[in-house]
Amino acid sequence: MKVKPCSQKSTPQKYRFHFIADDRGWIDLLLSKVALIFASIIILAALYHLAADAGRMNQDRQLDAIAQDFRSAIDSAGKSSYEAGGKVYFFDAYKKHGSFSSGLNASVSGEYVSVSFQEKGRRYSSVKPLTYKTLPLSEDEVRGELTGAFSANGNISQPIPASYGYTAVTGFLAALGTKEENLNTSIEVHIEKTLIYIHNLNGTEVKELEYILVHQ
Amino acid sequence: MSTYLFISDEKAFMEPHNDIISTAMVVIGFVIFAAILLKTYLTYNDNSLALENYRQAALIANDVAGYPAIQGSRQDLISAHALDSIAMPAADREMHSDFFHRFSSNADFFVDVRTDDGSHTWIIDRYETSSPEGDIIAASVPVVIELGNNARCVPGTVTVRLRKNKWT
Repeated sequence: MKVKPCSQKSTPQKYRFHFIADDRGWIDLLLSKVALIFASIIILAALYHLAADAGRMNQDRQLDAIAQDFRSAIDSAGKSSYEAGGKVYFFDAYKKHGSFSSGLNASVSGEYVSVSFQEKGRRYSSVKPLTYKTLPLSEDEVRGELTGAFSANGNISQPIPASYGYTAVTGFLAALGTKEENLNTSIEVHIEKTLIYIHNLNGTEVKELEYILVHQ
Repeated sequence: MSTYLFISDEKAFMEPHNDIISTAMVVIGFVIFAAILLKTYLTYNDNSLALENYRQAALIANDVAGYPAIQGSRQDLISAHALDSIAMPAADREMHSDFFHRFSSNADFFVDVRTDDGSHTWIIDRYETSSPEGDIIAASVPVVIELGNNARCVPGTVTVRLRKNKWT
């Protein structure tokens, strides 16, 4: 290394000149190594996040499959005829083979089903809208609610009188459907179709309303 | 000559920057890999959503094809007269409302029934005016439509078109 002496200049200028004239390349080396370290840290962090996200996506996908299966069970009950009777649904298939050995939560309301899972303080959930109108109540509960509100349980033998009005009945049932019911995923879920009968305005005919009941 | 000079050059002015270049290549490779992975996931997600929605549309289409209120003289026939009553604009408002009553308001769809020769078309929609926004997923089932009182039966199709919002 050659450093030209510059005795006439002041001290800071001397240092600057020394810095510029220094051709050992140590700062080049230092900068490139620091950049390399930073880049390595960023790449490793990105890889770590990618792996963690892949795990989370897998959980989401499994939950999505469970919610979709539960939704299909309810929708297929809606499509089948009333005479076909109810069905029983189990969440067990997923608990045995999937990664949700415990802590799988499910709920149902009049418009959607929701399945969630909590792990390490993080909550995964999947919500699926239902195709048919659904009530998270049992047959007896629905009949009891109807009797309390309209003095008739809505059976074929006891249709709801026309004086209450069609919209009042459908509005009441829609309000019942807004309540979300939490389900115990360890026991079976009963899914059945029910018919609610209402007299028409002139009272000569009855109209039937179809609802799917989901309860335990 | 110039290639030879480049190879035999021993000044090594590129030497301290080799790691920078290789790191840049690794970063670029990683970004491309992540982009491909993301694109694959998004495509998979779109396809599985489309399949899920198609299943729902097919379920509704089968249900509509077997709906007792629009059945003709036989169980396997669909009555054109009943379709006239509920198709837009609905002549029988009560029948139209009953048709959609059992479906949740989340199931935003309309039914398109048409004969295969294209001579008759019925559109059954829940709302008088529907917004065309969002994706449409359709499923069809073949049916036989009974035209008029002379029991002339023609093949046709019931198509259910689901309107999907961004969040469903």
